Amino acid sequence: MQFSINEIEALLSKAARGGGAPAGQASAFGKAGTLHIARGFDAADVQGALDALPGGPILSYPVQLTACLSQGGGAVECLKQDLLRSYANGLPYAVDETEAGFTIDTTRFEKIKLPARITVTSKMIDGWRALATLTYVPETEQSRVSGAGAGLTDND
Amino acid sequence: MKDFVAPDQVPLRPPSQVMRLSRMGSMFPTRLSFLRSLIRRLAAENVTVTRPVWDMCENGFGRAVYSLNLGGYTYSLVAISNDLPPEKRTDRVIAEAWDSAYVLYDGVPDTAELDRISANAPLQEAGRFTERDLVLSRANKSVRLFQHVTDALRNGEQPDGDMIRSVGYLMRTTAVYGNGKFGIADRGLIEDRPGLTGPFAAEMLSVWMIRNFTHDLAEHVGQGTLDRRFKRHLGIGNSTGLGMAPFLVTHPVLLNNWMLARETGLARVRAISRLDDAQKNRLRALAIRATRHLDQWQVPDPKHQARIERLRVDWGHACDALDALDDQMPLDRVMRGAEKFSDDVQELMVALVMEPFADLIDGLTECMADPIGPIADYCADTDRVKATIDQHFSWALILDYDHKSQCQQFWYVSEAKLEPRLGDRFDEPGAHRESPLDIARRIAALHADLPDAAQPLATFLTTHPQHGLALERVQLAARYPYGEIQDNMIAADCLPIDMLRCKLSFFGASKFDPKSDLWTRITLCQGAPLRDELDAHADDWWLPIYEAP
Repeated sequence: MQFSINEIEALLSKAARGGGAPAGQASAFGKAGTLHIARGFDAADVQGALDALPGGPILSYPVQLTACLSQGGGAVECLKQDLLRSYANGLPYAVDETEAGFTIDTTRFEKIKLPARITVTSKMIDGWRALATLTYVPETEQSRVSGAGAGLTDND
Repeated sequence: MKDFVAPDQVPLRPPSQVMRLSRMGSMFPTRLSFLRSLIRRLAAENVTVTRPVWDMCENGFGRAVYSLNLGGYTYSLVAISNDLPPEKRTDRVIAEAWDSAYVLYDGVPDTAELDRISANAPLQEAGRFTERDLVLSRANKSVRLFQHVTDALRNGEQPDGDMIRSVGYLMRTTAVYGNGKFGIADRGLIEDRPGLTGPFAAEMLSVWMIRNFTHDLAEHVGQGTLDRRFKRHLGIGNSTGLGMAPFLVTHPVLLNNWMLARETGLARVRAISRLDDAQKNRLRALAIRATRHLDQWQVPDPKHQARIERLRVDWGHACDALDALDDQMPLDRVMRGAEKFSDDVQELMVALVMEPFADLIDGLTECMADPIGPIADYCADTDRVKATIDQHFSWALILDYDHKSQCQQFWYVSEAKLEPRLGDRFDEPGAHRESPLDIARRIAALHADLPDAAQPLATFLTTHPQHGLALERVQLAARYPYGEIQDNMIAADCLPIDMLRCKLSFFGASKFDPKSDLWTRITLCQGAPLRDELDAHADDWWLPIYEAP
């Protein structure tokens, strides 16, 4: 199935939150996971991160990047197509490949151009939607009447 | 190469003054508003709008295509007009059908694409779209005005001017979707295109073209020509609910850039040392226009109408300062004089004093997007975090979030409509699934958990992962000082309508007509040039007033 970037980013972010990730880390994962898939890396990495909640990469990768960025940038060790690299690529800074991983240069700004569509299997999408549902609040008559932010009748 | 010399400016109004909900809820459109900058761009490019498809039955049902070239690209508005049974028009919250549906298309659609859009656009959220579809929208008729206008035209007459003035639109949109929703194009695909680089530019282009369509549709059904002055006054209505309120919280960089541009513009005009006669006369003429605009701003809600009436009186007094424009730094004096009046008066004055100064203001629109992403000032350790919070978030630390009044509301996403809503924490289920818009409470919680002795930030985040979002916001604060609304979003007295008005004023909306604390009607493009009026005067429609033919 094909989707826009924003659809997948929003869905992954909600799925992570539904799976137990804190809000900030869920948002960062949504961006990194989408970028990872959009650049042709293995979507199984993304699924694996969700499966590892409430621990795993969604919690640990932001810590690794924080360690680097709080020193003003620098080298981070990781495998060539690791999801961690996509976290770094989601930042507005230049990320340069090294033999052991990559370096983040916070003095240079770069934004990766993403494709118009990304493809994700329906099985994955269904799983992500199921997790995202855990962030939604079922509707009640009260919420529909008082919390919706629009009139029930909107004619003029 | 010519060096850029920044204009003089006085100190900016501080975020502690500007970023309060009550003030944001008093904002008016300015020449920085997105519709204004779009229209300037259309006029500068001498854009011509064509209508290659007009396939409508005599009752106005069918489809149409409007095309224009902007910045080297061709865009088309596809408009689908449906025969909507009255019983389907009664409940907006669960609406599944509308009078009309629209897609802003990248290029000119061929028949196959037109058929695809015609099949999907009326379904809105239930449809599926492609990257050629840039914006998705829908609109319902103002039944009483549309009927009246078409009846009058059919009888060879012009409609009643009072109705035109009081309603102000033939149709109102109930959603204008962009940025990837339901499969439409991501903003990233078009954000570099000339003419669409500004925030919500594609959405504003759609709205302006929809407004043109509503005029054509009424004339087609009425088989007559509507007076140009009526058409000029007929904008496009909009019903806006909670859906757009969280945007300002979840996009701190954009919020900062919008507010900073506005405050910089104000600071520049306040620094003008002397005004020439033409500038003085222009300011006085615009003040009179604002007075007339306020006189024509009538809303059914008694509370808001009383606020408008108070504004009318105070505005008259505040404008006395415009009699003394011969002094040094006259607009700084005018703004200082306005400070003794309400936020409504002050923010209207902000919009007024910026209006005549295109050369000082318009270039700031280039700074209102977020082309790179959030650039943080990273903290080395927890002591640095603490110092940053003390410097930028003292307002968040003084509140008692355990007190009922400071945590009574919670934001959530409804399962049924996937839309943001507000609930009562103590009276409704679902608070355990609260959306993370409680920034102030999160900052205070982070501050409370920071250790006495400095700790590397990574170590702290490992043991306190729940503070990830708050840490992110703290590290953005120095670079984006206008990025946070300095109020508690979950307090009992938090009024989402203030967020809506702030955002909608940046769109260029006027005639705010609040229906509750949660939603409002507005009018967009009222007074804006028609598609054959994109000339040298195309930018002069700030706070439009109705002129009877």
